[in-house]
Amino acid sequence: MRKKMSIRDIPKEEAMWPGNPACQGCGGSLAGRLVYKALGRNSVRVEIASCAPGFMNIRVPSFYAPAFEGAAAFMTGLARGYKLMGREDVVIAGLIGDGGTVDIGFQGLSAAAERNENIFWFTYDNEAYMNTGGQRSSATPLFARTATTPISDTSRGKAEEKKNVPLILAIHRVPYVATASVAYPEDLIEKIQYGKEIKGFRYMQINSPCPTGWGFEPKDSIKVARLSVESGLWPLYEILEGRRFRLTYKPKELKPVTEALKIQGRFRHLSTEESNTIQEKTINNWERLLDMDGKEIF
Amino acid sequence: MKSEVMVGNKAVAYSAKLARVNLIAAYPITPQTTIVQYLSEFVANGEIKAEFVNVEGEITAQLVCMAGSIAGARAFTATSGPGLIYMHHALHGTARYRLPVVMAVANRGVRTMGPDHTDMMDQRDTGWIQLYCENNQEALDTGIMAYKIAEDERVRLPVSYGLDGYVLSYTAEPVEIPEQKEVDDFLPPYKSTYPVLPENFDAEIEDYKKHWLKGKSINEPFTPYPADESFSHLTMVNWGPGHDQQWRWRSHQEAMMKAKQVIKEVDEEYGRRFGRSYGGLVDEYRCEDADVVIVAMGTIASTARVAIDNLRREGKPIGLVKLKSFRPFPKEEFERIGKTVSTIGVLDRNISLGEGGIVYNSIRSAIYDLEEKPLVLGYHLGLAGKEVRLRDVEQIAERTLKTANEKKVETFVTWI
Amino acid sequence: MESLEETIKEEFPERILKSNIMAMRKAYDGVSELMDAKNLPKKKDIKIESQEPLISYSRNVADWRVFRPVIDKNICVNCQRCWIYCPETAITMVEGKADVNYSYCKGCGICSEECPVEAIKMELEEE
Repeated sequence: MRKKMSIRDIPKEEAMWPGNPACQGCGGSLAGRLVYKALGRNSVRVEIASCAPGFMNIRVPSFYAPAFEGAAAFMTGLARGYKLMGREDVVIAGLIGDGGTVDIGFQGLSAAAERNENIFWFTYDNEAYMNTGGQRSSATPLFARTATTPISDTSRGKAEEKKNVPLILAIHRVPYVATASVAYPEDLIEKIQYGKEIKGFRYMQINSPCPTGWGFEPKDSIKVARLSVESGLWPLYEILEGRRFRLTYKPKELKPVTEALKIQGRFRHLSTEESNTIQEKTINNWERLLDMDGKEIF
Repeated sequence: MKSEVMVGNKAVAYSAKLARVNLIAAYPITPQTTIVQYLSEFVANGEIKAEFVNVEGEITAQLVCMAGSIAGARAFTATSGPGLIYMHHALHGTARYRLPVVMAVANRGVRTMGPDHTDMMDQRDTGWIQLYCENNQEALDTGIMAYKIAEDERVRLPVSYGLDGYVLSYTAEPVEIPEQKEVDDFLPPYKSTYPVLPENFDAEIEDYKKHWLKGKSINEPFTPYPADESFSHLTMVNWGPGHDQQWRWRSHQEAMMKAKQVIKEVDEEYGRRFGRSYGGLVDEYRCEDADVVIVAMGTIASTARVAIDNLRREGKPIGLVKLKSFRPFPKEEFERIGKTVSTIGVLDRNISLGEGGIVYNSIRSAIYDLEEKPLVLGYHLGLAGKEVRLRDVEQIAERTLKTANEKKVETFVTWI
Repeated sequence: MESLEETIKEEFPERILKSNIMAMRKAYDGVSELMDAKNLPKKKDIKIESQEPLISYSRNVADWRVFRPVIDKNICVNCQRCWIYCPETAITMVEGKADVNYSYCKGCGICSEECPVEAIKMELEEE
């Protein structure tokens, strides 16, 4: 039976040295810290072109896959290789940015999921290609300003909604898919500790606010993450065996999305209509998730 | 020793089996598809014990082999033509990380279905060793030798070997299959030297710190590992002052040069143990008293032998240099040969658009510093799978002999 | 050791000279013997020891600070939020009170923002 975790239950051991060249207040760095804290040091890390190589203070063997699109393939090769040397106990984990997950890495991701490779994939989602200056990815949310979706009278930031990777992967029938947030470390760590014991393809998408790219002060990183969850913009859930859906955090009442959006410079341009559109879509989505909660969805 | 009439693809599959590969990445592409099919059957019936990964594309195939090799697996994959160029991005990775992955390429043109060498030639700057085979027996033998070359401490580079698509890959020839035990004696198990175990992490970092401190103002590798670049936990401080960004290219080039000797040694040892050797980097056929030589790769060399015999019967002083190792390029061999002949005719089943025949230009460069330079002519044939007939090669040989007699060149490059 | 110190003096600017030389000495002293990796125990529980982070050899991220978090330990209630939210483990709980490692703290201010009892104030870093 799974217990709700409190901050006191979080393991004290760190798998990270202090000090890395990530920006002040980097949500991705915190994501990396929490992930490897939860996994423990009997794991390895795969990284690709992204901000993640900057999280060089993580204390597990770290491999840089030399192809941006190759995170999934590289993890596959490692998983098979470690299996051959009799070390399936080592968790093959990747800390991958959204670009390498949802765009250029998507083919490989889907294939690794289809093959049910024994890997644990972590996407630290800062919703753009932040390492190269914040260009739009398909994980960028609707109306967000990025370096390639600028704001003018006719260009209103990203024109498309965020690609829903967790649901896409769940339909591959993989053992475990989850969303998480750096503002909810107990939830994040409990999910990882649960997923760690499962064999096969596991995926977690972690909302990782980026002060530099999203346009807010570093001190507000956790606040932005929290408000995103509390307003339904970033629901926390998990899907087991591709079927059983469970919301892991259900606020009684959702906060208005403007509370989360107004802190972020990337949404400063929103008109009332655009804001309302986001609010409506968020409410609709939330209601659909409430409907799915506790049920077999596929 | 067993003997069987088999297609080239099966010979390749046998070589991987005998080399005891334990990680195979499989993806279909004509004309190599049956290589991975044979291997999947070998794995299914227990003849090979391996992780067999049906990947979704060639670049994944290469990355899987790369990562598996880091983790200690003896990795193998096969591809052709467009599959190979799709893999290009990852080829740089395998070579740069100095991993002894072996890949069979059923040579197919990058733009067509038919066989030519443009696919492997297109990868010539990736830092892979490239060997070419003229018959199915050589393909099987090379497939085994490849691992010995790749895993040699002096080399630690990936090896690709080519066999002409369709002409070899789907054509049956008699092939002798060495005994497993004899191959085991020749080829010991692969041992990865890469830092991959989590429990060793702390000690390796401490070790690395000492090396880093020493290397502060010395342009030397910062770690004892040949491919430290892949391990972020070791490279995090590599960008300090005193670091020479060029050293990895330089040391890779040095390894390539050392590989020349290793290829010769491995070939010679293979000859002693199994009774077949291929001359090392080049095989010189009837060149002892030749005034003219033609240079060919792959199955064209096999056809050329017959052409040479025919012309020799007429008393013409001509020989064949079969180029087996294209990378590293046997410059020294061509310098030596260049001193003894008056004219060289180079048969290129490839082209570098905007410059010309690749082997043609390489040989011209190789003989450049000789006091008395031979004339070098280039011929394009067999591209896009165009049939190479005996009379085509004879025509080339005759033209080259004519040029030698007249001591002047009408046209340097001819399309057959 | 002297020649290493000389090289460090040549390569690094004055203000981080002292901490870099200290880091180097500490690393050198910390390695008492060369461990043969092959003889290390295989699957034992990994213990984190306080080893000098490798990053300190090439960068001083503490230099980035404009403000530094100052913790009033009398107010701190050991809720551990600042500890868990620090992006880089620059805060540890020492005897039930939050403690900042100023060698690595970048001054992002998350700890101060998240503290529920306002025990952490961001103060301007003196030069």
